[in-house]
Amino acid sequence: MITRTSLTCLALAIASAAQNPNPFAGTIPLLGATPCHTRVIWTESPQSCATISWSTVDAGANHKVYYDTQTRSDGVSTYAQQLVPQRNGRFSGAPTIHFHHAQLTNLRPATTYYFVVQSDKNTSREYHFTTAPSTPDATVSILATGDSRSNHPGRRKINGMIRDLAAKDPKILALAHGGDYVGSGQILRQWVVWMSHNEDCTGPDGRLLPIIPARGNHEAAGPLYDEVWCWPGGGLGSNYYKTMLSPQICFITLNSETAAGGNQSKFLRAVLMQNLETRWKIAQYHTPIWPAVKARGRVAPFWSPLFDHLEVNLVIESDGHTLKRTVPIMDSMQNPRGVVYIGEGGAGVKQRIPAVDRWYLQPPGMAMSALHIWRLDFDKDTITGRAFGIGQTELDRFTVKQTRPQYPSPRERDIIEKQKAAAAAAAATAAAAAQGKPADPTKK
Amino acid sequence: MRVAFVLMAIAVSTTALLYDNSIKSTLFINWDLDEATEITVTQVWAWLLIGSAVAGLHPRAFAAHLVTAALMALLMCADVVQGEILPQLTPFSQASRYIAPLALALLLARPSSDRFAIATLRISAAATFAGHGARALHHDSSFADLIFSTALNLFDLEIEQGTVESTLTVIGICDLLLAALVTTGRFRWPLALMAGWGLITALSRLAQYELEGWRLVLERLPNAAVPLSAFILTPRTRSNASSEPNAEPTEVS
Repeated sequence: MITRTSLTCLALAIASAAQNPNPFAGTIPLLGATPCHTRVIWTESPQSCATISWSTVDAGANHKVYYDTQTRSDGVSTYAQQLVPQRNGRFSGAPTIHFHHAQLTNLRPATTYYFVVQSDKNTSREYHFTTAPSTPDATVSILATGDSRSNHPGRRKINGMIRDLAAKDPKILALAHGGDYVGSGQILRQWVVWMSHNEDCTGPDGRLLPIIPARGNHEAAGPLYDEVWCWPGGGLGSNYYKTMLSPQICFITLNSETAAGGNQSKFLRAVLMQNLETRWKIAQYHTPIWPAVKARGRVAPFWSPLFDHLEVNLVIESDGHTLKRTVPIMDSMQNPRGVVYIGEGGAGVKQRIPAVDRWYLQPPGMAMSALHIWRLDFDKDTITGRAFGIGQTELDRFTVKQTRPQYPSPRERDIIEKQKAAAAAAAATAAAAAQGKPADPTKK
Repeated sequence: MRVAFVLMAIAVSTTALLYDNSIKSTLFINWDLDEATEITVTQVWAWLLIGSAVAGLHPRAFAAHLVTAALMALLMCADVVQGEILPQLTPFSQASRYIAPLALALLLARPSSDRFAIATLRISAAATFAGHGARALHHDSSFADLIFSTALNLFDLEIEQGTVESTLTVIGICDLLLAALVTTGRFRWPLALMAGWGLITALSRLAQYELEGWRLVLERLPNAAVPLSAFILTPRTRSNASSEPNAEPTEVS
């Protein structure tokens, strides 16, 4: 068995070398139908859903995920559940490599799931991840970063730090990535290398942090972003969605690379309106509204008023290749009850010197040039944010406290009142219909 | 047109000096230069651009226009390298910025070459509109947001996304038609339409970004100035050719 596998690997390697001297140089060994690039993706409902994804060089015929709430070491047949991936296909471009996405549902909240992936009898090691909690006052921690891009040594150092931070604290549930994973998102080879490096984030015990992905400008138009992340938020042209990290933590991923107005603004407004009473609202997207290096993005006129007037607490931005935290901002002015913007893409790309003279980066804000990861801890009263540099040096720390609700802007107030009136009228109609009476037109 | 290029140069250079642009990204990320070197190179590029554009105001600054064209062509190449959405359209979309200065140089070099200069202006205007038209047909997200914000800020209208996309399709078709008509060299009126539309779309950046949008307005002035110049030049050249074969070319400002 071992000998046959070795010969097969050798034959494949020779054939691959003849076709292309080194198609997967710089990556973990990729052969045949051996699963690799295993990762977990969160988009919506992380209490009960997760997507498990992996790659194989060959298309293969039989793919499965075996999963359970206990670790199993006696073979795949001992896992309580199994699932055939709903999406299998070939990544667009060259070299030839295939994706497999298995969307798990009906998971239990705050539960650790152990799983293996199997392709044509090739079985991976066991991994595990933990679903999000369903209790309103649960403390939740996540990591946030962006802009892995092209500095591979830096990127791998950050990946190692993600692994170490997660290993040190099992409360860390997920990793939010703000986009720009690679230099050119339309070149498959770069994604293959990225996914290989992403395996550095796997804990020594097989722990994986689910990733909440956002689209960056370097993934802007191609299909590969969707193929890697299983079409988050509806795929190209949308790629925006809401992730309830707990019943009181609404995490919104937006797409700054598609139209910020129109449907996406409607989506953002609707989510924020639905979550007016939710304790914490956070947004992530790629191109900054309050940048530390570049000029303001075109999303600012559409999203900034919604953040201000519908009580977003914290925003995570990328693209600038620097570390930053703004002062609290509302209506384009410093306001202690405003929104704090952090970022700005330190997951590996060469860091830039920020423009520290910008008003929103003055103390108590900050900006500096450093590879970094943000850690965010959400509890009942505060969000605590810490930026860690290489070697887990703490570079910055801040807290966002819960403040009393702001009143919406006049425009938003109008919309809220109209929605309330429409809901009340619908309820009155339904009640009257239930009683067999015509609705009273004078009642609201 | 020379004034338009000076204003454009100031705006483009301001972006490079105060914020970021594709040349900086290419030098820093793709070529892996250290930031101090990248900043120095970018500053040299930016100030040279302003200098050449200002020097181009002189009626005999032939070389200055060539330098402007070369520097803007460098920026265009960097935009292609850094661009992820239809970068192959960038040479067309930006044609007015790097080809049109060649027309100015031609007009100065040889007064009898005004036909070539006008042809150059027409080609750059047509290429610009063709590039933008193709992006509009592709429902470019920045174009969509421009329509959303203009409608909201100027007319207090919230337009549906489907309407915006349909509008972009119509705009794209019109842009491509105008580009085709101008390319034939037989019609003058499309140039006037191009000049008007170029000015409107440039000014619309103020509706989106308010006063912060002035840089974006000035960067796009050549999109109006180039077809306007071609429009002004075309009939005079033809009448000169028939009655005054040795007439001076018209000054284009």
